[in-house]
Amino acid sequence: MNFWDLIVVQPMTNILLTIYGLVGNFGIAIILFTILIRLATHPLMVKQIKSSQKMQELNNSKQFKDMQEKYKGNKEKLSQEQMKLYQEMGYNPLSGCLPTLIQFPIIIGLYQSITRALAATPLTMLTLTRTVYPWLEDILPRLSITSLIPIDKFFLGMNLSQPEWTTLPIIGISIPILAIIVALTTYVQTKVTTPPTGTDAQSKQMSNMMAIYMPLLLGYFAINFASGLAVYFIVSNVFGIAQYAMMGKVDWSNLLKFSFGSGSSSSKAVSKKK
Amino acid sequence: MFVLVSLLTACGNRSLASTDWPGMTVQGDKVYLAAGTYVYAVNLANGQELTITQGSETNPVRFPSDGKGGPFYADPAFTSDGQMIIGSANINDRKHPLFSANADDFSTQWVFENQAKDIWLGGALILNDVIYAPNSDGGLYSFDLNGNIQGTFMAENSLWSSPVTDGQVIYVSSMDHSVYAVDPVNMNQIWKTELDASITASPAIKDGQLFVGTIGGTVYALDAKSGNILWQKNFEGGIADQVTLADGRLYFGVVASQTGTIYALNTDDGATIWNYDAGGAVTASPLVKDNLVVFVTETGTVRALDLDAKPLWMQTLDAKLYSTPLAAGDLILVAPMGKSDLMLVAYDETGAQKWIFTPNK
Repeated sequence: MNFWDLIVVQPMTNILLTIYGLVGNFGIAIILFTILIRLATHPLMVKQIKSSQKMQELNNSKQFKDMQEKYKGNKEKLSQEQMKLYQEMGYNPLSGCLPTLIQFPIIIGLYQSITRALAATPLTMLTLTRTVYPWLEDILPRLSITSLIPIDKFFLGMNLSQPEWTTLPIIGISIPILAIIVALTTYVQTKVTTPPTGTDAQSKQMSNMMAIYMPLLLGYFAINFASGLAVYFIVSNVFGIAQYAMMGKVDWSNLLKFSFGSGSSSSKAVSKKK
Repeated sequence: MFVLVSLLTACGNRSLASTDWPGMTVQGDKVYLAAGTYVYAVNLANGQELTITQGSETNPVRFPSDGKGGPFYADPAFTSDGQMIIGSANINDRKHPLFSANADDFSTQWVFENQAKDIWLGGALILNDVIYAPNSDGGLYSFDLNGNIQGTFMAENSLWSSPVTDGQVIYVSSMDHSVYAVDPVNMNQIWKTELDASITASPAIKDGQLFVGTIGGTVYALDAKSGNILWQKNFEGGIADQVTLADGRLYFGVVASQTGTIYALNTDDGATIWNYDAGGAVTASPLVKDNLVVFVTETGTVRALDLDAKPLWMQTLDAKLYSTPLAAGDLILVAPMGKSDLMLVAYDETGAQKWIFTPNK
């Protein structure tokens, strides 16, 4: 077992299987596991929100605007002065990235945990038997590998080990409903949880692009990978919106606003807050 | 985000190397190897791949010719009229196709698709010109030789292994912990016996008895007529493959984490005759050929014992070995996994390597 497996995939798989062993439904296990991850990373999310607020305050400050005016013809100098200002104010621009970055190993680890737990082939079954902590069955006999396997891979009529496509009655066309929901919830989460970032055109454009590309990218994953991953995306998005709402940080008015313009008063820049 | 895309999509790379346990079947003077993207036809005499010459060009003949439809891991099955039957193990292909191809030139004869709900891991059984194909959706699908579906038997969970028959009844083991006896004509269940754990291996049948091992490490002897358990014996670890029957004994390998043991039991009562530390995980059953017991390990060892477990010879390959060795005339065939330059190795009974099959890219 390699280092990644040991520190990420094996613990995640065992937590997932423990929840499954307790609730008896793999879809619900993924949902509960996602909420668990969301709660565990909540402090990071709070930190990111504070970081964004501080960044916003800095970008709207008179000092920052004066600086932009003064060095508007010299991007390199402007960038240097911005960094200097951030340092003076005790702000680390990278501190806001951590919660986003930590999502990546979680998504990859969860995808690998789902496919490993569902063990669709002999080799993945062998790997699964080596992944389950042997002491789990000492705690609860139903967590033994022989009791856990076969995992019930069906949830709401979907096979969680395969991409989901639903055939519509009467017209008979298949559509990836789960992937569409993933894209929609990602879009909504990106839009309503993003505070305005001032007048910086580049930031606005980047944020707007994220609001387009993230839903498309996660929707693409949902179409092409195990639908268990799509369940994770949806629950993560919805729970994320709820977390922001509980902190009073959701801006529903942002939902339908979209602009690539650099100075329009109606455009509120967005940035990814996952 | 690029990193995320790369890591997730890396799971779907299309290297020639097999990413799961290869399947193989000897048919006539060829061995058919299902090892990932393609099924290969390899000449037993020299280890060369079947080729076709058109004009000045000579190209290998593989199934499928366009490399789309796989991967394939089941043991290919062959009908009396020259068809090769194999199903796709592509979990992302919603059609879940089962293919029939001409065994000589690999031209596609028919495709059964859009009906099975999962992948095909077990090889098909051919009985009285009817094809019985097990699917991971729990279905045992029967077809005539033209690919017309005749009937379906549904188990409660996945069927990973090939069904077996005594000529009258079909026996199939399931991941739902059960062995089923099925009427081959009407596909009705005759009996079902629940065992201790999931079963990834086919039962072995002889003299009205079935012998099967589970991933819980228990070997069972069942009465083929009633499904009643005649005896059972538990071992530490799991049994992944069909037990081998020979001369009143049954041979099998047990995998316990990274280690493995080969056992020989008495078929009458399950008494252990001997056991042998394999030196690595054993997922495949031993091949019993004449006076040899040949087994492979995950660590790449090919070892031959005599019938009293005395070591005779050993070879080591730089590859993982999960599939059961096959006998083909004087040859012993071993199919490594995960090596595109080492897909099949043939030894003689003294352990001397006769040839290696490496497909042209």
